[in-house]
Amino acid sequence: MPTEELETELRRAFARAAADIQDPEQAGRRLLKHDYRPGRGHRRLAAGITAGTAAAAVVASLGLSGAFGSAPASGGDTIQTTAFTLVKHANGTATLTINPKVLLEPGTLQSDLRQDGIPAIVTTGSLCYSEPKPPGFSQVVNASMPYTVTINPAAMPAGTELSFGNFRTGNGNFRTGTGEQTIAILINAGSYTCASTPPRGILPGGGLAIGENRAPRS
Amino acid sequence: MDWVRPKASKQEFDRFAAAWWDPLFRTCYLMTGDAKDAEDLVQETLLRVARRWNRVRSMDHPAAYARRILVNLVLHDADRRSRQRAELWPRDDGPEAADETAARALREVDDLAEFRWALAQLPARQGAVLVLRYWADLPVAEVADILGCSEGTVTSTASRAAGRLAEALAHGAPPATRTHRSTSMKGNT
Repeated sequence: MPTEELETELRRAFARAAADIQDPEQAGRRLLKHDYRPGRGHRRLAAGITAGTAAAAVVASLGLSGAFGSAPASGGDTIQTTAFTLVKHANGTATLTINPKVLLEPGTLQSDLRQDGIPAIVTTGSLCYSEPKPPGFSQVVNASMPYTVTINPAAMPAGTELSFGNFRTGNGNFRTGTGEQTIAILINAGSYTCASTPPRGILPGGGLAIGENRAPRS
Repeated sequence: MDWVRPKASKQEFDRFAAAWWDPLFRTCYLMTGDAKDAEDLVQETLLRVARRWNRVRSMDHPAAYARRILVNLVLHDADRRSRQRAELWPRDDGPEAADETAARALREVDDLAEFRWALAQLPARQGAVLVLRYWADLPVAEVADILGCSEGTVTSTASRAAGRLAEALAHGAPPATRTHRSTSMKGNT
């Protein structure tokens, strides 16, 4: 069994490598454009459609308003999935609402946050943190409702990122996705550790548990 | 014949695809190291989910079902390309770094394209174990269930794969074009 140190480095490396994948949106447009019915030619679509054609077709064919991508909402953009809703406002802030009953897919939230100009690392079953904690979290993230936080990326100190760690609580499990809890903290982009059992003192003054004001279950 | 019906179900599926293509794509990209292959395999996954949508939509977590299909497709594709070794869990893996050395090698990664390249050099099942455990953050039991092996095999394979990954990072010589990997590189295992 890999050591905890090795597992931490693996989680960190995978989070960075997945976030670094270039321009997946073009692939997404092509994937969503496809007419998912049997009996159609569907292999090698990637090489057969230009990005421009796919981009124009995807909105018309799927009517994605409210489900994916940009949809008008109070002068900003809304990304809505079953697990979370992310609204970008005209003043540069963003509102993130977590659905605690649905498993959070880290890659989706991470890429959507970055798309909205919020550098972040999102993990499940672990939390990336820096010691010492960089200051300024309370200026960056505010809890406006139990499962809703407002994020102000302009207030993030240089060289920092947000870290969201999603944990299963109670009897929750991966398949049912029940009992999810998400921890948000500020980290130094160049120096952080990811662990399944982050230090107990990581939250006070430097982070919050979205929905529940306590540290994740060990 | 439209297999996703009635219209409300079609809209449900569209929302599912819109919500989950990204994590499926990133998972597959990490496993294959190739964007075009990842796109093809995710498309095939969504196609298969669509065909069974009337059953899948009632599942507790349709995304877990889709991920299982995707992993099986990746492994099948690796078999088809003869990329996988004769044994599913080859003993002749070459040198493996110790955990401490592997952790240090991973900590020192500054070229993420190189990391993805090194990951793609692993036998497909070893890569799958690492991606499912440390990117998808699935429990060991879930990974074992998906791959059809024991939990002990998952943990030992994870350790072995991490060691090989570190070796590839330390000694590999990916081409200068590695940020846009070509399919031909996948055979160099």
